[in-house]
Order: sequence, then C-alpha cells, then structure tokens
Amino acid sequence: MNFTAHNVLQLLANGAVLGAFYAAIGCSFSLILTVTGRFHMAWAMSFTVAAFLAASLTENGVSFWLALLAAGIAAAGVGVAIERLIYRPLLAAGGAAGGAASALLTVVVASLGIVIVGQNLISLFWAPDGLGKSIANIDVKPVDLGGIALTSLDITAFTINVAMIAALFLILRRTKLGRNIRATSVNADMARVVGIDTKRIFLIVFGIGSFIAGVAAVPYAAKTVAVPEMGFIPVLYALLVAFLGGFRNNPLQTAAVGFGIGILEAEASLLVDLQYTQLVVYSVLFIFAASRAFVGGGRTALA
Amino acid sequence: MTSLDNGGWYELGVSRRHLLRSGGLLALAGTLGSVLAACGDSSDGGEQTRSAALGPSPADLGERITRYVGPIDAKTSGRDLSLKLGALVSLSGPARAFGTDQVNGAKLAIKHIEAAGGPKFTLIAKDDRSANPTVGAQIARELGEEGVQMALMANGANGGGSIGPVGQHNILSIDGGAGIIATTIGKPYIWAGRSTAPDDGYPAIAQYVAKAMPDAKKIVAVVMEGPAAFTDAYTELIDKAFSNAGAPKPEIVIGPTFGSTDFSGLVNDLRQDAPDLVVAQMYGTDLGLFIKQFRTSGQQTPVIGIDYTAAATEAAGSALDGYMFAQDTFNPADLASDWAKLYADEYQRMFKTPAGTFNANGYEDVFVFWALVRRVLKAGGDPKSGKDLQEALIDDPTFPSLYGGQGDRIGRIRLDAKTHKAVERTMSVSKYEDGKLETLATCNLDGSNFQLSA
Amino acid sequence: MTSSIVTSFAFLGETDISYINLALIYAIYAVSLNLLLGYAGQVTLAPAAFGAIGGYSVARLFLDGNGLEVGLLVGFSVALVFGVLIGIIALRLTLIWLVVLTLAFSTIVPQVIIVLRKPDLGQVGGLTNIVDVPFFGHVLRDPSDLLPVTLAFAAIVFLVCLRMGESPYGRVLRAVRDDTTAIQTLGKNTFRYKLQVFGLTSGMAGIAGGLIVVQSTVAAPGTFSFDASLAIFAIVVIGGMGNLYGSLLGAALITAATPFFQNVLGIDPLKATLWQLIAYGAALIIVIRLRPQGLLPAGSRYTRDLIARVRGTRPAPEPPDRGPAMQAPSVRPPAMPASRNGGQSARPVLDGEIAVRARGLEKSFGGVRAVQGVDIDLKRGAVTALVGPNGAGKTTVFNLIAGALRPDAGSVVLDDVEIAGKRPDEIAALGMVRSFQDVRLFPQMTARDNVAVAVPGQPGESLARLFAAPAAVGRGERAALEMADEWLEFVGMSGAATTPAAALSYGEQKLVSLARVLATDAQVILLDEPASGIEGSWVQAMLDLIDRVRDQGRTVCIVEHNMHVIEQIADVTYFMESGRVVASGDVGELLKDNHLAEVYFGTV
Repeated sequence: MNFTAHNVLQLLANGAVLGAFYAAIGCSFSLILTVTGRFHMAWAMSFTVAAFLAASLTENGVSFWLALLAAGIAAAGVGVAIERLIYRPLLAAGGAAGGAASALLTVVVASLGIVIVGQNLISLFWAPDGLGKSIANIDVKPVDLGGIALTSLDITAFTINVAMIAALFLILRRTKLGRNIRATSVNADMARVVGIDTKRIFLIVFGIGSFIAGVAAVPYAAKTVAVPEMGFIPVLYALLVAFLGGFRNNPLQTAAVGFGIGILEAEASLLVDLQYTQLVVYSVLFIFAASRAFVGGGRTALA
Repeated sequence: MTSLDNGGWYELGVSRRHLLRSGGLLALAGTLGSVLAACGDSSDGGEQTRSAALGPSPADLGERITRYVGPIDAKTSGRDLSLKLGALVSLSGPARAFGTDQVNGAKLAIKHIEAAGGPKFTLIAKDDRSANPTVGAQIARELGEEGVQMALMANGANGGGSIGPVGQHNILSIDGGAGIIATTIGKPYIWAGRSTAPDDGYPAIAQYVAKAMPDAKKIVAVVMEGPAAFTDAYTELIDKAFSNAGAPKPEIVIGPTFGSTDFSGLVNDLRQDAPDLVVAQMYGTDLGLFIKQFRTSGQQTPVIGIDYTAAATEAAGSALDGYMFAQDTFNPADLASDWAKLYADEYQRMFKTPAGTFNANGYEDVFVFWALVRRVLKAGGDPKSGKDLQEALIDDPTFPSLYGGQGDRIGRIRLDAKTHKAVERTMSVSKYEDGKLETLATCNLDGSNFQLSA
Repeated sequence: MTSSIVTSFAFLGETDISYINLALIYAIYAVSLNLLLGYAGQVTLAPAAFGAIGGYSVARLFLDGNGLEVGLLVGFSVALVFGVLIGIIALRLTLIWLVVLTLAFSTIVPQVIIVLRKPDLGQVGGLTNIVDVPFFGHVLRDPSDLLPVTLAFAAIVFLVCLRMGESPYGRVLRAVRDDTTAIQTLGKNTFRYKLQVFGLTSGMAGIAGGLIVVQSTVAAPGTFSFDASLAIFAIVVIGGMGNLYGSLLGAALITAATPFFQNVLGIDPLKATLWQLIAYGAALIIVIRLRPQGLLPAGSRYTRDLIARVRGTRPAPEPPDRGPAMQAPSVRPPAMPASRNGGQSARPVLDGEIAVRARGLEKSFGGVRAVQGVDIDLKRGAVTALVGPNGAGKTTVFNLIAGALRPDAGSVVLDDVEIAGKRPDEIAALGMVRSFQDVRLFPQMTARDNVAVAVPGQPGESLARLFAAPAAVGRGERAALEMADEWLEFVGMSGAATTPAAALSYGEQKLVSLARVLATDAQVILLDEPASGIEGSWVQAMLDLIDRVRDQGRTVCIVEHNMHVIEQIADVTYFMESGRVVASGDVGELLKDNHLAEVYFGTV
C-alpha cells in the first residue's frame, strides 16, 4: 500500500497482465455480440471446456503450446455448435419477433440452460471427484523486469492475449473476411443483398470469438485452476468490457477498456484495502454508465 | 477464551469459515474437498457387498468396533431400531467434493454400526446447491416433514438457511464441514465436533512457531477480506495466541477478498515486507492459488496456515510443497488409534481411494448419533426424538473420536453446551510435501499438551 | 385469516406448500419484471438486487422486534426510492447502457450490504434464523402460515400489474417500449411513465425479496445473487414477455422443476443431483427452442379473453387472415369524425392568421450550417409545403419546428407560445403534432391501439385514476376506442383494426400513422413526406385525406419531394436551397421562375 513510484509501476505491470486478459475476453465477447447481436452468456462454456481440455492434454504429456491450440479449436467448436444448433434455429423460429430486447433475452435464457447443462456435464465426466484440474507441462519462473517482478506465465499470458487482439484487429481491418464481418455487423440485410453469406459469417464470428476465449482460458487456468464454474466471473468481465468498449468492431478500443479495468483494479489497492477493489471497479462502472445519461453516446435521442 | 463472548469477533471468524465452505456465496471455485475425495459412482449397494467380502467378516468387524467405542449394552444398542439419518450437504456446485465425502463416510459408519449390533440407519441425503440458503431452508423442511430427527450438516447450516427449520423441527444436526461458525453458534439443534477456523488453528500455530521455528523473527499474518473492525478482532486473536506461546508478534497484512483468483497485489506486498514466515488465513482453492502465485513469483518464505484441502493441492500442485497448517487433519499415513486404522483400511476398500478429513468427520458424526441413541434408550427416552437426543447430548457432551488416541485407546471429543462447538479434540500441525502429509506436532484445541513429533 | 385457505390445501404437505410459496414469491418477481420488461421495454438486470433491499429490511426490522408488515412496507418503500433513482438515470440511457448500469447496481448492492456495519446486516453470513416472524401479530411458523401472505401479495401484485399493463396506461407503456420517440411526439410524458414503472416494479421486487427471506429464514447475499436475477429472467421469458399470465405459469413451472426432476430421476441424490440439473437445463433449452416467444406470448389466444375482460373491451376477434395488401381506400372515404375537443375545433378560422411563426432559425451540425436564418409562417387552415433538393435543409427546418431539434438561434412561436427548446410532448400538448417519414408506428401494437394511444386526455392514463376511478377509466377507454375506430374508418383502414402494425403494408402504415396524428386532436399537423414510398392509387387517397383535414380547419405543414403532390395540395410553398428559403408563395406562380423549374423538373 505504499505510494512509491516503484510500487505504482509494479501494480501497473500487474494490472497490465490482468488487463490483457480482460481485453482479450472482452474482444471475444464483443465480436460475437456486435456482429450477431447474440447475448452469448454460454461463452463461459467455451472458456471452461478449453481449460479442462488443456488440463487433460498437458496431464497426459501433450506440450503446453499444442494443448493451447487444441483448447482454442475446441472452444471454437463449442461456440459454433451453440450458434448452429441452438441460437440460429431458436431465433429463426421467432425469437426475434418481439424486438431487440426480446431476442436478447431469449438468447440469455437459452444460454442459461446451456451453462447449467454444460457445467454439470463437466462436473460429472471431467471432474467426477468434485475437484479442479491444473494445467501441467508448464514451468513458471520468476521474471525481473528492472525491479518489477512478474512470472514467465504472466509474460506468456500477456503476449498471447495481446497477439490475439492484434490478430483480430488485422483480420477485421485488412482482410476481405474482416470487411464482410464488419458489413454484416453494420447491416446484415444489406450485407446479404450484396452477396455476403451472413449465416456463414455468424458461424465464423462464433468460431473466432470462441477461439480467443479458449486460448485466453488456458494461461488463466494455469495461473489458477480449472473448475466447472470457472467461466462465471470471466463472462461478467467480458460482457462489461464489451459494453464499455462500444460496439464498433474496433478491438483496439475494446482492448483499451480491458486494460483500463485491469489497471484500475490493480492500482485501486493503493487507495483502498484489497477487498474493496471489486466494489471500486463496479462503482466506477456504475458512475460511468450513469454519466452516459447526461453526456455522450449512451444518451437516447430524446429524453 | 474471552473472544468467545465477543460477537464481532465471532462474526468474523465465522464468515471466513462460512465462506470457505460455501462456494455458492461468492461463486468461489471449489473451496472444499477431502484429502482424496471419493468417487460417487463406486458407492452403490452392489459394490459395497462385493467390497465387504474382501474385508473383515461382519462378526469380526462388529467385535472390533464394539471394542473401540464400547462397551455396548445389547439391551440399549438399538439393534432392532430403524432410524432415518438426514444429510444436508452439497452434492452439486463448487462444494460438491466435500458433501460427497461426508456422505461416503456416513455410509461406511452405517455399515459398521450395523455390524456392531447397532440400529439400522437409513440415509436421506439432500443437496443444498453449494450453500444456497433458500435451498437450505427447503431441504431442511423436507427432512422435518419426512420425520427425520438427526442429520449431518455442512456449510454453516447450509448458508444459514437450515438454522430456522432445523430448530423448528428439532432435527439434531452436526455440521461436519464448517463446524460451528458465527451464524450457528449456540443455535438450537446445531452442533459440531470438528475444529473451527480460524480461531482453533492459531494457538497451535503459535506454539509451533515458538517451539520449532526459532529463526522466524519477522512474521506477517495475512488476513483475508473484512472491514476494519474484523481486522482488529483478528489482530487481537493472533496477538494473543502468539504472546501466550512466547512467539514474536506478527504484523497483519490484509489480503484480497474470498474467491479471488489474482493474488498479485498481496504477493507484491509480501515481497516488499520480506518476512521470515507468512501466516496465511486462506482456504481451499484460494489458498492453493495464493501459494502457487507466491512461489512462482520466486519467494521461498515458509507459509503456515489454518486450512488444508485437496482443492488447495489441485490448485497449487507442487508449489504446495512445504506448506504447514494447523487443522484437525485425518492423515491416513499417520494414524494414532486402531479404530482410525480400521476406518482408513475399510474406506480404501469400499471407495478405492484413501480416507481423508471430511469423510472421517462424516463417519465420526454418525457414531456420535449412535452414542446418543444408546444413551436415550438407556434413559428410557425416545431415540426418534431430536429433543431427547439433544438432551442426552447436553447431559454428556463427550464422544469417541477417530482422531487422537493411541493403539487400543481411542481419542475423544467434548462439545460445549453453550457454544455447541468442540472444546476438546486433537489438533495437529502438519506439513504437505510431495503429495503426502507429515505430522509435525499435536496438541489440544487451546494449544495445551503441545508435543512435537519425533 | 388463514383457516379457509389452509383447509383447502389440506391434502398438501408442508414441503409442497413451501414450494408453492416459493413459486408465488417468484411470481411476484416475474410479474413485476414482466411489466417493466415486456410492457415498458425497460431492461434491468437487477431484480434480485431490489429484492435484497426488501429482504434485508424485513430481516433487520424483524430482529429489532418488528413484524413482517413493517419490514415489507419499509422494504417496498426503500426499493421504490432506489428504483426511482435508477429510473431517473435510466430515462436517458440506451438499452446497452441500461444493461451496464443495472448489472453494476446488482453487483454493488450485495457488496455494500456486506461492508455495512450500521445497521448491522450480518456481514457475509447474512442475517439468520428469521423464524416465527409475526404478520399483524399472527406468527408465521410453518409454510402453511406463510401461504396466505404470499398468496395475498402475489394476487395484489398480479392484479395491480395487470391493471397497469392492460389499460390505456399499459398501452402507453407498450408504445414507450416500441418507440419512445414516437409516443413522446404524440403528447405523452414518457418521463413520468418510466419513473412510475421503474419505481413501482422495484418496490414489488422488494416485497418479493422480503417474502423470500421469511421463506428462506435467512437474508444472505446468496439469496439475491446475479443467479437469482437470471432465474427470474428465465421465468419471464419462458412464460412469455408481455403476458403476465405467462409469468405466473413460468414461476410455477420453474419452481416445480426441482421436485419434479427429483422424483423422476432417481432417489439417491449422490448420483442423481447432477443429472437433475442437466435435465433442468435441457428443459430450459427445449422449451425456449419450441416456444421462443414463451409459453403464453403476448396476445396468446389462451389469455386473450381474460385480458379483454380486464381491459373492459370486447374480446378481440382473431385477426383476419389478410392476403395480399389491401386495395387503396376509396377516393371518397366516410365522413370525418367530429373532433372531440370542441373548444379547439370551433376556433374561428381567420383568413391569413398565422398558427406557427418561425423566425431566424439557425442550425449547424459540426460546423456545417444546415439552416441559415430561415423564416417560415404556417397559415391557419392552410397546407404549407417545404420543398427543396436533397441537403437543402428542409428536413432540418421541419425538425426544428417540430421540436425534435433545438435551434442554435431563432424562435418558433405556436399560438403566441415560444416552443423552441420544449419537449415534444409539451409541444404536442400545445396543439402541434408531427408524423415521421419512416412512419414509426408501434410495430407490436394493433392498428387500433396505435391510434387509440394518441387520443389525448384519457383518464386511464393516470396511475391514480386507474385504481381510484375505474368507472371513468372504463368510459374514457370506450370513448378512446370509438375515436380510434372512427379515425381508422376515416383513413379507410377499419378492416385492419386488429392487425399488428408490423404486419401492415407500407402504404397501410402511412394511412394508420395519419390516423394516429389526427387522433391527437392537434390543430397543427406536421407531415414528413406523407406520400413518399407508396404507390400511385394510395398517393391520391392520401392527398384527398389531407385535403379533408385542411377543410376541417386544421393547419398542415408537409415536407415533400414530389412536385405533383405539392401542386395539388399546397396553399403556400417554401423553396429551400443550401439552408435558406429562396422563394415562397403559390407554387404555380413560383414555377414560372425558370431557375426553380429547372431544379425541380430538369427542363423548362
């Protein structure tokens, strides 16, 4: 709790590591929400399945990096399957008829069902003893960056998360696929008119978004532990970062919010006891959201 | 112990333990678990019969049990009785490992008691969804309506939800998970035989530091969560334990809240303080995550705590090596009494996994019920009445324990009629190393009778 | 008070009754959330957080020696106040920010409760052993003692919400949900409606929270977690948004799921518990997949008669199966309805009197001067047209006059009252109402409701009179529906009265939106491209209608591209270019100007 320059920097580094994680999962959630409009709370299942798969693979001797890739692919598979088998037929069957709020909540309730089923299936078959699973095959060492202490896992996690955000940015900005995704996001009907297969785009977006979730989950699980309920808190952070980042398909903007929250959480410990940091974060969020009522983009056109 | 009368303090102590045992509250990730929890699948009836065939014969088993917990008077053993035994525990959610364990221990106890000529208990287990209080109230009412008058319990009366209904229906309950915590202290029909974190752990820790760690001069005690008033109460408790034991006065550092997964702030604080010893007040997964992140940050300072579960092992992996803790731990590798050895063998045979603390508690608690049934029968009361059972408990709150003792002489626990918690039972300081536990010292709950292991 | 109810439930055990209590408490949560969400369209993620306020009030006050009635009253009031405060912020927020705001609120409330020392709220362990709570001196010991209380509160909340939802008041709420801007331009103070609904439904959630504390015997953060809010959402969505009967059904089904799956799936909970939860989750997915609109969607035929009875109207017939778009209405529609507001319609039409006088209007958008010093007069009883090429600023001027935009400088005076800077609903109340180029009907409401909601001065739109003066409300509602039917007949849309607006063709929507504007009784009507985007025969029908509106003495202002339309109906025409009025007067005279003819017809 010392207000020294070194301490501020140390917490900044801790906050940046945490923030990169928030940024990556925020971009993941935001991509799906912005393009498809699905309030995909079952995102948590992609996250959890990836962590458990990586734990099982590394436990059986598979290298960390291979497991990371497999986890990302499995997470993408879970996301795509949920979109293809549940959300799409659900909304096609009329879930969207009641307007945006109605479609949003229909998906939320379907998500809730998916999470309950998924969590308990994992408990039953992947964690039958009721205990968590750890990521093996990773050697974590302390790292000293000019007096700032981190671990090799922190550096790995930070690098992976930042790389994914950068890759997402490049895909969205520099590729034809990215243009199609953005076009679909802005106006799906118009995108269809100009020949974009928006259903396919939705699946791809679920794939990419869930892949990011899955890959981010592995270093997270390595730092912590994989348990069936592990997706609950990350999904809340992911949706908050997504909301605060706006819906402009701009991963950099979303990432900035993620870093901001991570750093705020870390630095808040300078000012208040550690147990209040979450309260501080949510209070800042509350005030920020409330302030949108009076300034800026959150305001409705007419009072 | 004056702190007993201090409501504020208890609230404090309780909330910790309560949170530890109630993953649902803050969506804590798996806080619980036995040393090695049993897999529920292997516990069905057919399995039992087959497994039992490989173990001691029922007659032999009965004879041995009778010898340990006896003498048993055939007239008041309850042989012809059929009694319902409830279990209000977690069977889904983060606390599932712990609830499953308690039930497994109880199943084995039921078998042993029948073999020893006791009553036939029928187990009715109900899931509190990892300490959801609304569910807790509902399942306790269900037990009441089904006429159940004794029950195993967990999670500080299922997140507080079963306190009321259990009292209303006179269901004598033993919380074998959280023990007696702030919200359940002295509550009608709610008792616990096990030690309660954190207050039961600190006297043993202080004794151990004073006697076995003379080089620990600068000590930091990490206290999790809690408003300033709680921190003060902790400081008082820890100071008192350490000064009674003649150990150096620890500096208090506040840790993050329960359920945290990122301990970098605390790790950072500890690096700056550079103490000789860290006294950690953390539980379950939280503890494992803290130790893992503390060790991977390069710090080798010894850590001594008040909790140890398989959840911590799973979370920390080899980083947990060298972790010391004061807790009533059932360590199958270091058993004092023959009864405990019999239990550990039988448990391994029945569930194909080593016995541990929470299943041992479940087992021990069913034997408490049997002892009460015998006393009620002897006094001419109704063994199906929770009221009579509780009266018998208050009359004589001493029971045989799976912990402590030596050889033929088994250990014992004594409960307090006012607080309903254990005042006498065996406490131990143990060390985790390479997947095994090593007993470093034993003492009573208050730190008395402290003995370093050879 | 309990005996009669309890005996009728005598065949049930206390455990069953306990589940019934739980279902009734969840019904209170769900019905009130449904009013907010399904009717008013206001999303909140915090029903359980408001429940926490009520729950902790009941527990703390009980431990201090008070009865449940005191706790519920305090809990209701405090939750209501917080609801109003959140509502004040929510009024100005878009959907996504409202989600963030309420999510943050639902996280902050339990944390603040944990931190608070005074009053003592039991910290993380909560306040426990809330048993034998007295309710007006009657001790609630068993679930069957609580049953009459939960039953009574569920009934009260249900009836109050039903009355609010299925009434002229609820019609405004649904309009707020479908299009807040549009309903405001029709003269409804959306501010008041949103605040009332936010406040009252939050208070009701407080009552549910208070009762669940008695049911659970403990007030703990776990009872009011985000999980609980999700369960309440599931009930509303599974039951059917916008249908309060659906929420009752949803609460019953979701609550019954636990004992149902326990009975169906195995006796040994050690093995079956996880499977029970999996079955429950799968059932949620299956139900929402098969009935995405919920089991009883808004307008479900199973509840239509019930709701019609509540609204005091005839049960609406099944909407006719409408084939291809209707033919354009006859050129000679039925008589124009008499204006209800005698005072205004009887105002003598003074030749040349100016109804609206705009002077020196200026408006810039990010440095672009869209409107520069525009003066416009709307003559009473005449049709005034604004024309000009794209980007000339005519739509901006229209919006400045209508009050949708605030001018940087200049004034707009309507009948001697300055209206620049007033809210659209205030302007509507002064007698000027606009239409929208893109129609903006309330898509989920029937054509009749779209028009009826515009009828001004309905007693049933006042929350107080809804409950205090039901007879007046009933009379007012019958009159409003009659008015609506007459205006629909006037525009030739009687046949579509019970059709949801979203199912109408574009031309039909334009006509209904004209009827909606006319039903407001406003003396000044601003029509944004009334004839654009519709086919030939419909255009003529529309122009005939506008003619007839003028004949009645109303003042009309239109923005229009189509010069043939202008030529046919405009009395005065303002030509605009580059943000200025370049010419005004009779269109025939003006088009003799070669320059203007070139601009508009391309040739001389």
